[in-house]
Amino acid sequence: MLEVRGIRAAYGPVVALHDVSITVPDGAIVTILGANGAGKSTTLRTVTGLLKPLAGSVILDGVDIAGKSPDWIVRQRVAHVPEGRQIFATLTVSENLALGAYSRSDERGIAADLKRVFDYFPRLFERRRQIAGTLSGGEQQMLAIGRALMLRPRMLCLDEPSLGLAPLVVRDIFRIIQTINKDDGVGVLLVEQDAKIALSIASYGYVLETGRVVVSEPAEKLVANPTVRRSYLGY
Amino acid sequence: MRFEATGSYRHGYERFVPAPVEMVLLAALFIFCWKLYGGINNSAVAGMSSVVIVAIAWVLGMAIRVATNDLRWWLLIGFGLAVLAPFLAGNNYQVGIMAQVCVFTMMILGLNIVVGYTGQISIGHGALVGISAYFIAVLTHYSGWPMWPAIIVAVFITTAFGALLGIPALRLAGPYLAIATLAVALIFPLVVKLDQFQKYDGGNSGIREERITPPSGLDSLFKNNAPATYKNEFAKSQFSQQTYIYYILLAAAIIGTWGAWNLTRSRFGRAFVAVRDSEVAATAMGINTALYKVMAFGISAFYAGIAGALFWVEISFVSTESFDLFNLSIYPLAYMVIGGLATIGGSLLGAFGYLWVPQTVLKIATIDQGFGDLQGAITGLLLVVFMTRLPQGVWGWVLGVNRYSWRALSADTRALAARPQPTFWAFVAAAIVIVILTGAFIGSVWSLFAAGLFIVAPTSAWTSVFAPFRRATTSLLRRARGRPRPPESAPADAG
Ligand SMILES: Nc1ncnc2c1ncn2[C@@H]1O[C@H](COP(=O)(O)OP(=O)(O)OP(=O)(O)O)[C@@H](O)[C@H]1O
Ligand SMILES: [Mg+2]
Repeated sequence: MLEVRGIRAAYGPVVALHDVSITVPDGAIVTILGANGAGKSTTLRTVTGLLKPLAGSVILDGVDIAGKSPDWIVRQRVAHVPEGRQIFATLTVSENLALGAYSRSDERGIAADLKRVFDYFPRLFERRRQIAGTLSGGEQQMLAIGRALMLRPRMLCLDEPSLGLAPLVVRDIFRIIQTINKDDGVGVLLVEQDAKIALSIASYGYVLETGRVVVSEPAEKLVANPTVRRSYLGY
Repeated sequence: MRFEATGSYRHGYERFVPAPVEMVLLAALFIFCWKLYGGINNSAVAGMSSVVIVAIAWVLGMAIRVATNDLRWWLLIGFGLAVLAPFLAGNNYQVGIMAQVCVFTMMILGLNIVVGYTGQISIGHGALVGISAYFIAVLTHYSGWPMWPAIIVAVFITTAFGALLGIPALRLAGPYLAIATLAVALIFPLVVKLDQFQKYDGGNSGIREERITPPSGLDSLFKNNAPATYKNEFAKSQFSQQTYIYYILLAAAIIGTWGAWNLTRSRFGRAFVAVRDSEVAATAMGINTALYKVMAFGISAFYAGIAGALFWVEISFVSTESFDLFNLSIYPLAYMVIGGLATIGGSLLGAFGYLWVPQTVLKIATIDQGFGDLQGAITGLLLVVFMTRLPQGVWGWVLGVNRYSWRALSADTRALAARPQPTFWAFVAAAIVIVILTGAFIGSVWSLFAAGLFIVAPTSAWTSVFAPFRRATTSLLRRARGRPRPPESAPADAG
């Protein structure tokens, strides 16, 4: 279980998060919605240690991980799929996946997880020797998620997996995220612009506005929430 | 009838034809060397020369294709040439240049680890080489240390200093980091020239020591410094003190290359590339990017330190002039890019190119002007050409050639020998005659052009031109020998 408690974070003088609290129960998919610049990515960055919060705590299964170094947090098996995919463009698909297991040393477990990733994404298996920079946008997103799975995470933080993808590909990817979540009960913290599809797989949702949580409700209620409908669902 | 403009479905001996670009490049390269040995101005033999030039270019092209198919061939060729270099060289001066190739191999390997693999620009690398060489010089000359401990201490100090140089990389990137590292290269000679240090480092006049000599068991083999009159006296000049030193440097360069090869293929090497490709993602994978950047600078400085040591072993003389910004920082960087960024092969080619290309060009052009200026012009021109046409560098081009396995080559050759191919041989004979006639009656340049045309023209186009002729001749032959018609071979493999 992941609990974000009252974090405040800033980039130099610019305060991006004022007071954000979020809970991801074990094995749940929780989504963070919000307009551009609301602080969604910043929230993920504080969870994964890329940004040290000024105040508040991030509790992972009873341990405060706020302010710990990113590599330490990765070793606690919190995986982060950063915004804009950020694959290693000059390396092959296989090498990208190998880097996903960078902080692990159990060769056998890594091999098993590699097989699992290829089961989820057969397309990656076909293209395992291809240079990752030459993959299509959708394949790159699959690679970014697959690479995160190579950590065998207990928490999977996804930052806008739908970015720049065709609706059909987005649906595929979300179906796989759902499968991954069901298969081994990995908690998913999902930041998304596409509120409709995010709420279709999430059990709980938060809406951020300029660094504050303004609505937090179960997904099915959120879908019906008039402000959410107007601002994020567009109907 | 098959007609493929792309020639991608070549089979059998059609695969003997290299890609046009490869052919043109190789012919150009060869003409360079040809001119070096007297030129093709003699019009009487011009046509013949063209045939020879293109034939040798063709052999080179095939060799490159076969070697690239299995990179171990390249390893073998490179190793063989390096070991035999003193025997291929005409004089001690050239052996000395090869020794410097070893020095710059070490330096550029290190530079490639930090710039190519990790993506952190460093323009101050010459200073690192200088620091190492100067420490060795001062320790041996003024403190009377033996050379080997001095080398160990100097390399250690250089590595530590290089790691410190990596600290700006934690906050700076791109042009800002370039300027920060440039500052180090600019300050280094000034520090050496400081009045307070003159007593130790010799100030402007530098430090000179005796070059190392072969141990007593070997000194009969490596006779002492061969005089310049040894030029081309094959047996005498090969085993000189210079050759002895060259082999020491070569051993170091081989070990260094082997180390860099393993490093870049390890988990570490992949992490360096990860830091370069995406720092955010590298961090998200649990890679401590700060640590890796400092490590990259440290390893790179270690190589620069070794390069400094080799420099000292080779020249046994240091002065601030030896480590000027262009010769030891800018040019190696440029030739590293020309050789191929983030590749070991590119580093080796870069070191080789740095010491041979400008010299050779000037020699061919028989220009006696200041070497420095023209070296800059040539390097600049090469950089522009490579950055716009071949950003992957020479090694990138080699890796991209149309590969040809040794097995396929010998199978095709055997097939060609076993079955009568009158068209093929008629074509070759006609080509040779036409090229020679062009040379004799029109001019040497045109004969070369004709030769190029014959060899780069898409084979299938020629085949289809000759197809009726071929059908006629083969049926004639068949009738003459009473053989059954051979089955049409299918263009199955995409060569
Ligand atoms: N590196 C940075 N330096 C300064 N300010 C930043 C930085 N990164 C983000 N910010 C600011 O912090 C605020 C929150 O940014 P964040 O990236 O978290 O937004 P977001 O909700 O993820 O938006 P989007 O949907 O556009 O990705 C924004 O106002 C942004 O300008
Ligand atoms: Mg964002």
